[in-house]
Amino acid sequence: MARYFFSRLRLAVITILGVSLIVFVTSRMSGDVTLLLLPQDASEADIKAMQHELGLDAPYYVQYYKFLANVAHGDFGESLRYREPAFGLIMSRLPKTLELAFASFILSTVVGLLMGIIAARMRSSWIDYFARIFSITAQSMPSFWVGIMLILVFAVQLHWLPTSGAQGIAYFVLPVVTLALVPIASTLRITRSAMIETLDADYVKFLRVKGLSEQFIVWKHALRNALVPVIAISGLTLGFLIGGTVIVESVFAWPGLGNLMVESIFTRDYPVIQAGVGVTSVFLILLNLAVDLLFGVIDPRVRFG
Amino acid sequence: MASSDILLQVKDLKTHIAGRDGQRVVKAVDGVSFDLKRGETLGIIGESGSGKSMTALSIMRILPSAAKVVSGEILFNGENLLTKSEGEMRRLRGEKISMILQDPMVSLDPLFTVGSQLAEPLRVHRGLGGTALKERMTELMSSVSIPSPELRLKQYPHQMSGGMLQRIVGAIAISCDPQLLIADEPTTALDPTVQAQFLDLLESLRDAKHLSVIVVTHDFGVAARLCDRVMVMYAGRIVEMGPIREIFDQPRHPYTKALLASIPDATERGTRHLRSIEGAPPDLGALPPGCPFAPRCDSVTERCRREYPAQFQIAAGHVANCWQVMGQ
Repeated sequence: MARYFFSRLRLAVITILGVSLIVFVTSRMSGDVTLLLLPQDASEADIKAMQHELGLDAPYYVQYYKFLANVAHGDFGESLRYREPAFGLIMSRLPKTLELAFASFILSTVVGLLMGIIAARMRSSWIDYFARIFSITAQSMPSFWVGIMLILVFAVQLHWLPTSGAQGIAYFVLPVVTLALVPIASTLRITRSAMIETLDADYVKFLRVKGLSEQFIVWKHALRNALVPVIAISGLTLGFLIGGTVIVESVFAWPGLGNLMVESIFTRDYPVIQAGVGVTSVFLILLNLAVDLLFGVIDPRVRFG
Repeated sequence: MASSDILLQVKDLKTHIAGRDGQRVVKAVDGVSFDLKRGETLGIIGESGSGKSMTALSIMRILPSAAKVVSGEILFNGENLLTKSEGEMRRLRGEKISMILQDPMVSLDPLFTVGSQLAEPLRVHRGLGGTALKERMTELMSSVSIPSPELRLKQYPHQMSGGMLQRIVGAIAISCDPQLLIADEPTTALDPTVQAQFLDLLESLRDAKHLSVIVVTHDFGVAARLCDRVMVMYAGRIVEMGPIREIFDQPRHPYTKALLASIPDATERGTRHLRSIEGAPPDLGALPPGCPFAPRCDSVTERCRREYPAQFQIAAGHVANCWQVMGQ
């Protein structure tokens, strides 16, 4: 297990370095920051002076090194709009986004797993067909549209739930459902096919030969085996959820990272965008590391492999 | 013969598989009848698709969902298994009737230790736990000659060889001292050197525990090693049944003869090619009216194509379904 852990950890570190390079390069590609900071009529000398002040006249590898050193201290520079550290800005908004993402993750995993198991056990029944139609429909609907429709029905027409904002539990329902819909569908499909495959496996036949009950076989043996592919995609699901909040947050005016990112893109607030991309990337990489470790816990072939 | 000598009696068993479109019905087992005496070993021989495995699964009542026993009786200790509830059946499975599957590499759940999988039937049927369970498990592992059983019990299936796994599967199958053990191609997936070892083990377990055994195989060699009697199946029906010696020495059905002739002989030098039976097994969804073997049979007559052959007695306990046998 230790060897497996360190090999995964090494990969995570390499990925984080890769991400930092991409963030660094794309930010340089987006144009000269000094032109944005200085007045239109600034002289050549002023630009040179500004570039020197910001360290932009140094060779790229020196700049990259400095960038890394600063980032390591949580310093992504200052927001051009808010005039405060970009990292702090991101961290103040991150919790709201994580609340949304994790609530959706839990909802999609629980509902997707249960529906997938039921569909697999009642293969070719009307429940199975319903599950299939549901998952295709859910995966085909764009989330901004789903969000607006849910607001129209449950907030505007029925007045059951608030339209937007984040002032309490009731405010969670619509954005979480909107965000969870696609991952529910993908979890359902993967669980269903993994469960069908598992229930047809010879070792399940042998469990029946032993005289074990169907409930025991499904919930102890088949579920654990079917969980392997579900866990494999859960890292992707989390990435989808954290990225997906961008749209859902703007539909529901959710005061999270996604909304901040959208605003920053519109106002060309580069340090905030960089910090946002950097922080969420590292966060996702760490989550994926956790998923890999969970793999090892559940599957002995991974642990000893 | 007193009926109490008979452990299992299968009467006119028919197991059909519904086609994908729900229209075509595949008659996988089509009217099979046989008896199994206590302590006896019966071989079911046939090609793939002959219905031999389906017969075994019908007895265990663990058929795939598309397959269904449509008629017949399976009397085990005089009780019809086909009318039992799923709960009653579950109490018999693993306890009184057990089974070894073909491929040991996929017979055990890869995510659980071998020990936890051996413990399951002992817990469920015997209510064992604690030290009694541990002792019984170690004893079972030793009975199938697994060295250092305590260590092996804590290991996972992927850490063991196929031969070792099949012995553990055997240990699980006999853990509750069943009366009937069905072995479905028990050595097919094993290396030839390990095959002989496993057959030895199966034989000694059978003799030590007074098991009645049904061996499903396509291999006459395996049947010759283990069986008292064999029944040869073709297209879902029994074509010939009798004591193993008689079937070997005086096969009467052309299919049995052809099967025996196709066994490669290691002493026969200079033969360039393997002998095979011309043609392919029939489509079980669209059987011809007469004998299903007629298209491949080298002594076929007009009657064979028209009428399914009746069963003819050749000697005591030796029967064959073939018009050729009639009047001989």
